[in-house]
Amino acid sequence: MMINRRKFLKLLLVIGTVGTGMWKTVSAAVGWPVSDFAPMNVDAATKQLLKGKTATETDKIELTIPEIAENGAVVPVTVSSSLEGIKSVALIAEFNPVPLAIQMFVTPDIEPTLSTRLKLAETSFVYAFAETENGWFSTRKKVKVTIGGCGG
Amino acid sequence: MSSIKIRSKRMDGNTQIRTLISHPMEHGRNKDKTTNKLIPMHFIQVLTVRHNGKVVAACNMGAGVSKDPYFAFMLKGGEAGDEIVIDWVDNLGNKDSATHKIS
Repeated sequence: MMINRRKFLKLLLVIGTVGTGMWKTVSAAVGWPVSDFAPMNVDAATKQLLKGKTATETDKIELTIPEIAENGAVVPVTVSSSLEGIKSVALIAEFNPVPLAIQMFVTPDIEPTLSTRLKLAETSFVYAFAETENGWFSTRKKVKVTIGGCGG
Repeated sequence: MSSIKIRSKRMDGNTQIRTLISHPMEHGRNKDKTTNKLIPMHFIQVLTVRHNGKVVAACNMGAGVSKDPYFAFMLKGGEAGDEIVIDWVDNLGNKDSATHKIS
């Protein structure tokens, strides 16, 4: 079969469409919110996470994180809360290229407690958000990073 | 060998589930020092925890979680012999799952 320019262009178009289609199905199948984890600044990321709602500052979310992190690539963090009816818990690092690090959806069978390790690009606030039936609540803590998490 | 390690511990009627997954968690901005090329993004996107077949927690995450991620959850209740299944899916479509029995 001879492939002339026109046919070649058509072929490219077909491959392109199928390719993007497949990418979409993979993302949709696992339900991972691509737009929540896009690179953006902290305000945009917070807005995206809260879906237009506002978060109330509270002392009922306990965020345990070292004040000085020697290594920004591994910062241990624990978030727990005594709030009622928590649906999800999220952690946002202020100056990370992708601020939203993790969002955990909880069921009533599990305590709204999550311990994990985060990467922090530089000295910044770490925000913990909790989504309850009565809206969003947040708390924050400043972490001083002496070695950045970006250098690898 | 599975990439997931799970440990559990009974604590005041609750069960602490700790898990360690071996995964590079690359965010796509690190350079390979030998070839000087960017290392492509490769990170876990979704992690699910099941207790006796029922999903108890699901996490969406980005590359802001450290390499070889560690998670600890606190399950309400939990009896000896209960089954905990943890699985993950990454952005390249790889997946893994591990089963653990509470002792």
